[in-house]
Amino acid sequence: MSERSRGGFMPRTEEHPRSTDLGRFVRGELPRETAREVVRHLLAGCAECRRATGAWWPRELTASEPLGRAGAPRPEAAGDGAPPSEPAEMGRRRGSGDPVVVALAAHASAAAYRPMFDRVARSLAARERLFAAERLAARELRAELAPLPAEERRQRVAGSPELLTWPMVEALLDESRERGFTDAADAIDLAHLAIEIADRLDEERYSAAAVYDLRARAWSHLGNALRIGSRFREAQEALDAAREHLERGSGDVAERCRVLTLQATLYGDQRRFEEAYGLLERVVRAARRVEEGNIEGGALLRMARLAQLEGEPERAADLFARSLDRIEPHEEPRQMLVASHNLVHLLVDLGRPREALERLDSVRSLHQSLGGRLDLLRFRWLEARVFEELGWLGKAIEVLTEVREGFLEDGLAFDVALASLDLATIHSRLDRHAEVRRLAEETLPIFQSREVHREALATFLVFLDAARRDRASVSLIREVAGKLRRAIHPTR
Amino acid sequence: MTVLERSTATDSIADVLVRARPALERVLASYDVLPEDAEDLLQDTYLTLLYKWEKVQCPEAWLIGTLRKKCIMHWRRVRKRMMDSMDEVLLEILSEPERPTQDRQDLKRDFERVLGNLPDRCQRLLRLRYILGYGPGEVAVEMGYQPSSIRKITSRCLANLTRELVAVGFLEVDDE
Repeated sequence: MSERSRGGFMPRTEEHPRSTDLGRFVRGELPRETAREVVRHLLAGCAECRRATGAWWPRELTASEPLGRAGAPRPEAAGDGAPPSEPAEMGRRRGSGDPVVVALAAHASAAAYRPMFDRVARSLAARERLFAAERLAARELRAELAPLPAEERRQRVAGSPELLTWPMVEALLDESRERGFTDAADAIDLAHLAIEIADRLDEERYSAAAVYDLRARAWSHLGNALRIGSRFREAQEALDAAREHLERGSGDVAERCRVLTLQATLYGDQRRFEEAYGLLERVVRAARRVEEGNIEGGALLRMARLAQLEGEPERAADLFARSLDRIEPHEEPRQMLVASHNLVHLLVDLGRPREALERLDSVRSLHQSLGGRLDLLRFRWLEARVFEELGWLGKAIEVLTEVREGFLEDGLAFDVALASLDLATIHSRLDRHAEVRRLAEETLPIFQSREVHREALATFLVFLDAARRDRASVSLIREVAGKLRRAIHPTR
Repeated sequence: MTVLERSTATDSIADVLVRARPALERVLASYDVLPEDAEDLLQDTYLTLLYKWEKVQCPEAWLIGTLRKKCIMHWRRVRKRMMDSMDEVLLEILSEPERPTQDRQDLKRDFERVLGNLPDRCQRLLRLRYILGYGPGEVAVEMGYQPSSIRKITSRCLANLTRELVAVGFLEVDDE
């Protein structure tokens, strides 16, 4: 075939590469000497061969950009015949007798994969039995290891090859997560131990890419545990290690997003808000591209928390609402709960109680599903705030009284005090000074019986003094409540 | 059923695999994966599902999504091989002293013509690398980049160059 008949372009090299060589070049499998000729030819600007490389790439991933961007003339522009149609190109590929081409042609129908599916399913059945046994053993071992002191745990693992399993790593990470907010040091130690085991996992047995994913997860857990313990520099090092492991992992976007999200959370704690937002926006984009709504929603939720920390309630409310649109409640009920509870809270703060009211039923049902008596009490408290903002004061008093009783039963002095102050605010609005006084007098001994720090007690005494003189106005009670909240949670 | 319960609580992994199989076959076919490559991808996907079984809420959707991602990763690896090959070949052919003068001039002119379509900084970087034969560290110093980022920047420029020569594999963007 003459060069002109191949598209009207005159490359400087003598011949067009064979179609199969183009295919092998695209797959990076062409011997060096032939690859040189192909590159030389492509550099010369052969638009047809450039286009022909596209036939070797899955259509799902092929950019539909116009040809000729390289400055090479388009065949049609050269006025010498149209490029071969796609079926012609495929026919050319398939008629070549090349094994790669033959294989491609063979699997034109999905049926070509059937024997392979059968083989993989059989091997999986054996793995499944083995893995089920490992998982069962890991549950028992977790219970056995959890109460041990750190050093003893380490020795036990070092001397027990049967502990070197995937489920054991997961079990330790679960235990680490559970301890995160109650015993940061132990959470860190458990994550370290999980990493040690993950590093010794058999890559052949579990699939190397999956093992690297798990190692990345273990390092990111450690990073998070260190973050919670305010050891930010070490947390950063652990997250760096997680990212290095990800490079060798399966490329699972969920795993990558998980690490990026934890990195963003660390930045948030360091008040590096711009960097945190930047990372979370990347997570949102990546998650959207692969249609991972839960990951996208989780990132939006964290952006909302950052906005809250920055004192931007409107923006936070918008982000929470967007996160709720993305999170699948059946898959991530806890994230759904956090987002919807916080959104209702913000809507009340923003003076939009009607919108808050519309969301109460769904928040309640999530709280009920997820158990947690204390969380449910806190939801009822929120509900009372909505009622109060709507002017349904009787209903608000009823709910708040119930909430206060609940906190009393649990001996939560601060919460009792804060619920009492909220209750007192409503009574004050209704000029029920005797009720305000009664609440103040009842709450004082609860406060005194606990180890409440001096500043908080002094704040409460301001309210008590005013209540005794029937001078506890709504604004004074709100000011006292605000101070008390800040005394308990200085960062809020 | 509460929101905490899995929709597939009574399914076994084998049931899910049987149900998902036609869709998985379609994914492999749509990504033009050769059967010998497909077996590894499928095996990895199945194993990962097995390991994440307790955390995955909708295993069928998860399997299809994960296999699709693995197919994309597979083609990314293929693309990386192609780019590595392109890099090595360009380094070789553009710096061959024994090539006849006319041929070398033609080659450089062709290379410059392709470079002309790229952003200025990419042009400069690729000239330093392929025409003047600078190493990555030298390119970083010359262009004022951090040594830690030069690998990524060079890859990006080489990808731009490759896109000018080969009409494949650049539709989707990397995560990072």
